[in-house]
Amino acid sequence: MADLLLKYAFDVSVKAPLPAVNAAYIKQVLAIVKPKSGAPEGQVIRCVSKLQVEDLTDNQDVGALFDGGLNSVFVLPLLDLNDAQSIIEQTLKDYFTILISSDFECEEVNLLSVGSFNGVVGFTFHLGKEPDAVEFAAKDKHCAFIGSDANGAQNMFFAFGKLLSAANWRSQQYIQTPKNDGIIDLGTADAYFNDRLSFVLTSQQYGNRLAFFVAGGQAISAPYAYENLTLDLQSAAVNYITLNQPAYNITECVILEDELQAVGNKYVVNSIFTGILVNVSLFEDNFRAQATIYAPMPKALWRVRAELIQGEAK
Amino acid sequence: MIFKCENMDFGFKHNGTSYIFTDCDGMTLDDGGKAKHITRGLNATNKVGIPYTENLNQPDVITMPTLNMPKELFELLQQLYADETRISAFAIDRKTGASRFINNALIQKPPKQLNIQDGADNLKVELVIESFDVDDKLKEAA
Repeated sequence: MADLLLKYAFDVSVKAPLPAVNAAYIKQVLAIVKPKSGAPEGQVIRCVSKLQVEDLTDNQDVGALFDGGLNSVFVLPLLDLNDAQSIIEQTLKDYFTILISSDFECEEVNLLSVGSFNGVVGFTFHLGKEPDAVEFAAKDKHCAFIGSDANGAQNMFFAFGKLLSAANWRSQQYIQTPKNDGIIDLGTADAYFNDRLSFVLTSQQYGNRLAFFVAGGQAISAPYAYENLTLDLQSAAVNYITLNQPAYNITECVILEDELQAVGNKYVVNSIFTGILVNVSLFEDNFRAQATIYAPMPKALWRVRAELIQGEAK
Repeated sequence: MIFKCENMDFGFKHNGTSYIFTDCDGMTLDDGGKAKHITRGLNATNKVGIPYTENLNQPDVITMPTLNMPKELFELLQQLYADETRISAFAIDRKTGASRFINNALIQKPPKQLNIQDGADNLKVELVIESFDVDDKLKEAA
């Protein structure tokens, strides 16, 4: 605390920008598992190691998130998925992905309600449950993975671990995965691809490879990129308004627009979006401007249909 | 696209803060001679021509003559010049929102009053910047 005389003679008021927005939750996962006997149930617990997870559950899926590269995971030991909604509602700000472990059957998952959670939900359907998977995958931001019963959901957890620990939003095409889910023929792979189901393909030469990874029929990176972009735009706008205390006029709208456009341009430079266009204009008589942001859906290239012509190019 | 000086706000952005010049005599832009041309072989049979460009390595040089620059702004620009810090200068039509942003601009010369003499023209302090990223945006009048 400054001395009284100093404060009296030279009073300083500080105008500081807001600290950078905390986007850590976008890369955090809530894993729902069944508790081992004696473990607490119905509480979201942050685990920073596999050992901590093993104290809560016998499920092996969550460990694959650490193998994929994540350093911490929120774990929710739960006996009944019907109890999940209220717990999720209370911890919405902590994570953007919910992965349901193989402890639960697809009939239970189909009844799951995530309330106002608007992030990505993933579940691995076992071979033979494809119709349920297709229904699940059609929901917005829902990732239906196909896997063998014996492996649980380890490939899906591993893939999300890779996705969320990467420096940039990429779709993780053909990364190596830990388990062979028994998908070894082209016809099955084609069918899963057409149904927008995520899966691991096992080839003799290259081993287990993530062959498709999508959520709600969109590139897996899309919901994360939009959330990240929204957060950055919000942060930039609040920061600009706090620092500059702008008047309600066109000039300030245009300067703010330029600030927001600069945020969008970073995503374009990093090839996350192909182009972002921001427009800010006066909207009401006072206080509130209108912004429109055009950000085309991020897409991912997974396959190529090629035609080899045995002749010279014309 | 027509920018009318009397409708414009001139200024620059640095580190998330915008500064507007209260008195500015406009903005001039020298594009460094960037241009597209066509050429052809001396045999003169090609009637379409082969396009080529020149001077793409030359930056745009923008000059903003200001008057009545406050001490704080003058000192800030001197510091930004010394540090080679990039700024975004702008000219915004306060009626339509049409704008010219000069992004990633380097201050070519520190702001300085070149003439200390009688007459209004001698009150000018010029801010000269260079950039490869000049972005003009046209907007419909509200």
